[in-house]
Amino acid sequence: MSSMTSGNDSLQVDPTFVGQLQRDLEQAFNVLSDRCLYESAKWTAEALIGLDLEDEDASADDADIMQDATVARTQLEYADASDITMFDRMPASERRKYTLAKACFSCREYDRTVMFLDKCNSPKCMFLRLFAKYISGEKKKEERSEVILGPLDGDSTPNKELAIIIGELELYFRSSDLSKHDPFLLYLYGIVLIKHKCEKAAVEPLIRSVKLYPYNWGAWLELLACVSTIDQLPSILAQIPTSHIMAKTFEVVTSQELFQSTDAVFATLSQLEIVFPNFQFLKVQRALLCYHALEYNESEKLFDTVLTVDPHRLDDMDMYSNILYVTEQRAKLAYLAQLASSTDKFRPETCCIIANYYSLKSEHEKAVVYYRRALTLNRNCLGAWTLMGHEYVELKNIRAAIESYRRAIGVNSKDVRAWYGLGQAYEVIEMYYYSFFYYQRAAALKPYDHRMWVALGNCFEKLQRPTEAIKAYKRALSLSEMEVSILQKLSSLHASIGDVASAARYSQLCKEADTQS
Amino acid sequence: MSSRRPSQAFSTPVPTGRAGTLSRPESNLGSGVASSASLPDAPALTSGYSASPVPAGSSHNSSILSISPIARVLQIPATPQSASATPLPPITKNEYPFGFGSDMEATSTPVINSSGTASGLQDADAPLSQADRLRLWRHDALMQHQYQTAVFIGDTVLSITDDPNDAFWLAQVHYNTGHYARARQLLMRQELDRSASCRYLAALCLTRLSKWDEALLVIGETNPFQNDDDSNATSDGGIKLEASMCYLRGIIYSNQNNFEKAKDCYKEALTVDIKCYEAFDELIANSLMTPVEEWEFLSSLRFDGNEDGELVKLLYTTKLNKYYNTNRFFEAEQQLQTKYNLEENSDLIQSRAELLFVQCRFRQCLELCEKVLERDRFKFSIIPLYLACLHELEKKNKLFLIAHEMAENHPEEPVTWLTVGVYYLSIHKIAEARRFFSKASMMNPHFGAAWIGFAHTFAVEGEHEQAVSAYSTAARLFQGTHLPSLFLGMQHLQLHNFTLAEEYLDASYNICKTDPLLLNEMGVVLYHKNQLNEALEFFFRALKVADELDSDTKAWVPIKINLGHAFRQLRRWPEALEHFEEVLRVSKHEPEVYSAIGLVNLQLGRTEQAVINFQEALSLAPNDPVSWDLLKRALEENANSMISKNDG
Repeated sequence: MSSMTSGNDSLQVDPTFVGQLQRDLEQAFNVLSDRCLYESAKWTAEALIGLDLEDEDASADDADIMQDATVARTQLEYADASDITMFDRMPASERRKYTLAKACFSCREYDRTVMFLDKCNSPKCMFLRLFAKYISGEKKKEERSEVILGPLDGDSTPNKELAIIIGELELYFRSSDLSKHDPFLLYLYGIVLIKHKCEKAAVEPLIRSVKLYPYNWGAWLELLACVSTIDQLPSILAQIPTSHIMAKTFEVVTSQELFQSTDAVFATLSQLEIVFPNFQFLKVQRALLCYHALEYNESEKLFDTVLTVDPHRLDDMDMYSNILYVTEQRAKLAYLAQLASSTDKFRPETCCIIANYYSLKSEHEKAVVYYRRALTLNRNCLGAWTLMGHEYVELKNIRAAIESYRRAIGVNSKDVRAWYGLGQAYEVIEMYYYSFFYYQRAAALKPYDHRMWVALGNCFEKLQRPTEAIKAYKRALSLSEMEVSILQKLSSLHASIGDVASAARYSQLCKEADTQS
Repeated sequence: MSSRRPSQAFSTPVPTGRAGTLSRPESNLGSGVASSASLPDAPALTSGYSASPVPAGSSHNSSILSISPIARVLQIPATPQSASATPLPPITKNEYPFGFGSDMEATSTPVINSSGTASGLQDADAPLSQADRLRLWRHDALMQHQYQTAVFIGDTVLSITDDPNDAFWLAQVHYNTGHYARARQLLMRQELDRSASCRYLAALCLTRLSKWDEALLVIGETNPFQNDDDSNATSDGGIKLEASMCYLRGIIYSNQNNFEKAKDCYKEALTVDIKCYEAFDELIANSLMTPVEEWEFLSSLRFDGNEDGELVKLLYTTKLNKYYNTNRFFEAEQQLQTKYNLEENSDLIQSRAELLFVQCRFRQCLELCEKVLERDRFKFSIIPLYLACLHELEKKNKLFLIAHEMAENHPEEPVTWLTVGVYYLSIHKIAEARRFFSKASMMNPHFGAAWIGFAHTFAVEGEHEQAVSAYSTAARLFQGTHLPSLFLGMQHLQLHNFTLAEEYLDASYNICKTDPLLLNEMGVVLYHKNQLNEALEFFFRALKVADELDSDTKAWVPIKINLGHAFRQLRRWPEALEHFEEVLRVSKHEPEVYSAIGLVNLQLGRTEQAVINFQEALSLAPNDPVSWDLLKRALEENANSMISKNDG
């Protein structure tokens, strides 16, 4: 760990540390797959492959490293990862049931899993039972919701198990000792609270979960879901020892999601990449950070390398297709679509890529069809709702667009495009108070983007408040490089409130900017 | 009864003695004879029953299953029989030579009656007479439910012997066949009129024929034995006939809608003989007494006179209402489980399930109900409870199944149609539900559950007036439960008749002080009357009670919401928010809660948050005009507040 904290210049990674990390991750993989947390287990396995293990032979020789490991372990500020075995304990009678329940879970027979573990009291059994209950509730919710954007789709069709699971977990937490709380039950508690729209309440159990067991990537992701603005991040980071490698990863991903393409973030990412030189996940994060910083070429290159190493990795490839869409590389987008569809036609990511392709070809109806398919496959598919909203705007179906954007925000409240899209949609139907509200939210997420302030200024103008409009435009102007349109607006607004001098000044500036370009 | 002739005695044609149900009569011969020697002559048992002194000792309603006629006949002299006990004027005996019990011999009446009697006494091994053989035949036929045979042979025997006993038994056969009028007619024969058993059976027939007034006439308006303090006659485990008669009287009264009298009759029946479970069941199942009254009554009963008194007392204790004295219930349950090995007894499990239901722990209650029904699929007494659980937990499929099974197998039971009604109610087919509830209540006009269901169908549709009238009927039937008045109060609350609502709720509160729902409703009334602090007090009490009962979240969520509203009205914003947010965490999301939170946030100037709250509310209930209005207001204030911030 010391190598981590010493900063950028330490390019050499302590092999002891890596060996320890490798063992921790290996154990984490077993722990996670044993609890049927397959996505997190996959992430862990990808991280393992991504580790820098130059001396693979040496690490195979466990005996030596075991000695060093104890040293490295004392440096870990977390509960010892091997403590997790404490939570694995269960009576022999439950063990057999657990095996069966796990098998059922793997075969997607969730209700059976719940039933077989019905009377088991060990935390591990309880976790799998309630987790299966949650998944089963989600599955049934999907089934009841029927068509995407149909009458039954949305909040009126909730997961009926959520309140029950919350009740059971609260009973458990109340009746057992705080120190003995199982990190996975805390994780599950966080999941259901977020699903139940109680993000605020979810933060505390999730933080405790990652402190007890940091190698559960899923828990970090849920914690990420609780953060809706950048202001909330420091208070969370203050509660977790940030030197741990998982905490650092979390920090990077959160910053990425919140569009913080700052140098500090890149620096942390670089540190991580020293430990995990071949971790595709980190590469994608870097690519996305570049994308947010509008460095499309760099981003594209990074995605290309990911695709070369792992051509069938569909995760995050819909983001790549967005970049190709923005840069209008139709051929490359078509290639990506073909590749994805040959890997798996029925992955939401694939559908999004294809939809992007059709959208680029201005075949918006077809794009909508594919977005709908993506959402049918997974209603929580992050980008699809927003992009479908865009398509509906193109198709002049404002109602559907608004609904899509709204759902996008329900899935991920950090989606600026959806907030902005809502603002635009309401502007089209001349509901400026609504529009104002959404632009306001978008501006809160991306305060340094002049487009948000232009939109807000525009809204004030429509609401007959020229003074406020001027303020907003001035803010936009300070964030952009003397854009002509803003200067024009400012000039005319000043004229309208009778401030002729300022109007003249801005009109002069406008002319200058025009001639420069 | 007013027509009773003076100096006629009720006497039992069928004396005591319980053989095993289908045991051959021979097996009893010995014992009958043997005991005959030891028993003293009958003591005088009757007392000041004005017109017709009836022997109180006529303890048995000679269950048809009890003993075969032969054995009975042989036993007759053995038992100190009621009739003999009565200090009847001799004329009676002459008039009724064939009488029952020992007077038969005492009078040494000729003896159509029996070779059995006469000879049997002297020589138990003597071959049976023809009449006795025929009686045996009749008896076997009856036991094997071959009623045609029983009627045929019974009639033959009667013709041969012209014995009132045979007439009585033939009447029993008719009763079993369901030919009540026929049985009644047979029992109308003058001579039979004087026997208590005959009268009981006759009255029973009349009740079956719904001729309540006539039945009452036969059985008498009051208990003629009420001044006897005799409790020794049931030592053999039978039920005292007079208790049964009291019970029957109660049935008649309750059918005449005279519930007070009915209640007294049932209570009297139990006072006479604690073993008269029918009366106990009527009292408890129909909640004729208030909870406190029930407990008081139980402790007033004398269980000590009976060998099994302790067991019976424990059993009855578990059956009482679950509003009070849960500790005593647990004690009784514990004892029954350990001492009497009744752990798996379905009635005990049912009692436990009832307790869980009162505590609103529906899931556990359902588990127990299912455990009982697994063994006894058609245990009618538990089915209303089971239905309530299924309805609460929205288990429509299980409701469907049980409704079909019941309708296929027991179409004659009112509870079957209650089941069908509950099913339709749970799938929101209100008209159908109403039809079946109504059918159930037609089949049994005293079926409180059916009436409540019937009322619910109106309440659901917002037909408050009709709901009120149906609930009123239920309230009349179910005097001891607080629910009907609670529902009435709720209806009036919805009609904004706060004074009336308060009255009904108070009445309900007098019965049960520990129902969180009731306390909640009382709080709501106060809230509407703008007595916010008092309302708060009630809500807190409701919460406390819910907490003590250890209820499911479902029970206390509405209370928390109301607490939130009360705090909101009192402008105590943080407390209001706290309660609303807790509700959101632990329960299904309701649009009203979001709106309420939105209002609080609006008041606190958190306009952005308020906008989000109202949108949440609208996404759950898109057609709520109030939320739309509030959203519009919040959006405008949001824009304005942004402006004022900019200015500042």
